[in-house]
Amino acid sequence: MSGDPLFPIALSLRVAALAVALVGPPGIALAWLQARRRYPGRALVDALVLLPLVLPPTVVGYLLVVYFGRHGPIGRALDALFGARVVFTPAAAVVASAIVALPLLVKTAQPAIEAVPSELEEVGRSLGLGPTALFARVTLPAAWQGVIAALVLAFARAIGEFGATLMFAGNIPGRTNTMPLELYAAWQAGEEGRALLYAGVLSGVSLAVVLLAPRLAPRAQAFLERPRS
Amino acid sequence: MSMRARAALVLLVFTASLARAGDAPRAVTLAAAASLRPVLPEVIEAFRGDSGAPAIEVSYGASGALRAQVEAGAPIDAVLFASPNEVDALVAKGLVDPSTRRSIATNTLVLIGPRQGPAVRFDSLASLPPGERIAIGDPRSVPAGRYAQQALTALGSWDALAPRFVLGADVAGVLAIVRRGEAAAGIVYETDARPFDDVRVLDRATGAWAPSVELVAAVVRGAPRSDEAARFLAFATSPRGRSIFTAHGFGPPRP
Amino acid sequence: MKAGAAAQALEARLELRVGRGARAFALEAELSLERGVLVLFGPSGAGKSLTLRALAGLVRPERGFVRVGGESLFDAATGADAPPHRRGIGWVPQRDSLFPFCSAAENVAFGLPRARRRQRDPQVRALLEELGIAALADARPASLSGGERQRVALARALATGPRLLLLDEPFASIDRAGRGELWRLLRAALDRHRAPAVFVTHDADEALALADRVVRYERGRSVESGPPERILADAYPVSLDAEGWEPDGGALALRGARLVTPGAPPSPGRLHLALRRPPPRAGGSDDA
Repeated sequence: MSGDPLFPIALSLRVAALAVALVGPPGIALAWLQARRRYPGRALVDALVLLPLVLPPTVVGYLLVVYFGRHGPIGRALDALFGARVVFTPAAAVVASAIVALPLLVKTAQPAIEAVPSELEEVGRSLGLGPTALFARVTLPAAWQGVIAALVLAFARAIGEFGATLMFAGNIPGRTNTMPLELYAAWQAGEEGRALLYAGVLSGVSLAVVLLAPRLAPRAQAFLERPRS
Repeated sequence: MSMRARAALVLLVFTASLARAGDAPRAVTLAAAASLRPVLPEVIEAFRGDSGAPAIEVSYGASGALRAQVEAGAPIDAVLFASPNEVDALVAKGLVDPSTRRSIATNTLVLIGPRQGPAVRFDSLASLPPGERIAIGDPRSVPAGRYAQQALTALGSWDALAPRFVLGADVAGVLAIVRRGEAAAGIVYETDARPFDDVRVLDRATGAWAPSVELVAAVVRGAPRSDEAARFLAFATSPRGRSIFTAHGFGPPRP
Repeated sequence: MKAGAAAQALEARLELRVGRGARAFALEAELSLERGVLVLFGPSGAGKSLTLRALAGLVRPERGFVRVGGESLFDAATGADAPPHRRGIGWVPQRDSLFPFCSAAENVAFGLPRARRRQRDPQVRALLEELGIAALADARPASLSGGERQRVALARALATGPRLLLLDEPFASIDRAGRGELWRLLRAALDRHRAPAVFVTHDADEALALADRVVRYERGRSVESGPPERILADAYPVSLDAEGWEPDGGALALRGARLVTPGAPPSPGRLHLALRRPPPRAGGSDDA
């Protein structure tokens, strides 16, 4: 039952990448919204975005199973409309990872976007750029290092997701057994070598992120672009 | 006193208190397979009522996980696992006393399903609609999972059913999955399925292909409360103890 | 993009309020420019920059209208309000506004359609040369001096052929010596591209150098409007004209000098001098 030791590595990388791809565009758009617009309910949205960061992952997993499970409201609807079941599929792993990665993404991208000087956007508008072109050609490139840092941090969180994934996607060898799940299973089974392998890979990813992300912070960017007179 | 000095003092006192806590006399600690959760408290109470023995604490979990904890040096006085394998592994490493190794009960493997779910049997699992999952314990670390693998291999359907399996971290996990309806079937011990009315037993593993499920216990070598633990194990296999096991659906210990 | 010769470059009336309570600021201004450069002149905080922002569409007035080149961009009465990206108005802010992730040439080409942004567009090239920065085409903004950056910003605003250019104290952080050259370049570029402009400054010399018309601001209101010599007469209380001049040791000797009324148009053929009174300390410019 141990299976191919490399599969969980490939699976985790795929799941984390898909999770970031899933949550990236709406996350960055949300970061822009929170950075640039004041609207009624903004504080509430802020709190909701932060929630998956502070909730224990098992609570997140529990809520996901309750809502998306066979007897849950969303799960029943999905089953009735599309005959689709989410629980115990790789898609569930992606969803669980995406949800826990979202707060990190938004909270890191938001200050980067806030730091873009309003002069740049005003000039962009005067040059004829409508709202989407302005975001794509001015705001994002000006904040790109912070945005990249946000995506990298989100990836690291996504790849390390365990509690919610175990409950929502389950441990299905060859389908949903991501590295964190496999690490736990290998430890339980006394397979020290495998446990060490996944611990090593996950630590390597985390280390890379911890070294990389601060270099991409907005402060670093502003420092590099300071005017030299 | 400066802020930093104060913080250091608090940290020092805290760490010291932790160390002290380790040395303080503690209760007898058992590590038991999750499938013993329904029966063990009653056995312990009977044991204590009889002999006025000190408190006994139990840590439940998958036998594999508990074995790993014993190997890592967790403060456990005796183990009660759902199969001989884990106990024998500890014997081989010299971590438990082989003279205290004993069979304490037997169990039957059953196939369970959600109350409203399809009625299948061990030998007709392949007839489940595609996409339906079967929950079993991880055979690498959960004896119930290993027994399930033995049974289905003996029936010749293991390989064909492999893509359907969802692995539970322990028997309780398997139960939870089936009770939620996320799997159409699950394989647990007969003693696990009894208390719940949102699952029903679909089939019992009796027959040539059925594995024999034996619960084995032993005392951890050099544990501080090993004497009391040994006395408890002796009580568990006494006629009085055995009757409690039987009342909960377990079979008699292997001689 | 530009309206017919008959239409005024700019006609606007603006009434708006920003902030609340103790920090509320009310602006009331009336502007009109036939062609050339209109300078908004006055001390800091008088509402000049706010006027520019209203003209650009970045701030919405409560009452009034804005007509550029005969076309109505804003009219409170009808509710018409063109968004900033559709006004065809160039914008050169005071602070550094170049896109740091583009080279100088890429900055200049930024507002052009995608096809022209790709190649080395000849018009972009010409603009860079016009402003004396052709050699810096591939440089990043971070490596340019303040004056060079503002030249790029100017080229960028002109590249899209705007019907009006707004400049908010663009040379405020450039030292006196460099400013003269920039005034010359600006006027030449505006004339060549036939782009009317509204220029904000609190520096009387700058106003005098650039303006065809001046509007003086005081505490949120446009109080006076007219030719620069008249409006700025306060800063230049003594005007002379003379036949000529000669060096005299370390000094200057004027021939046939006489006092003239401040603000009066200079007599043809004669040398005209406006002697400047040092500006008051508070809110004044950087030179004594």
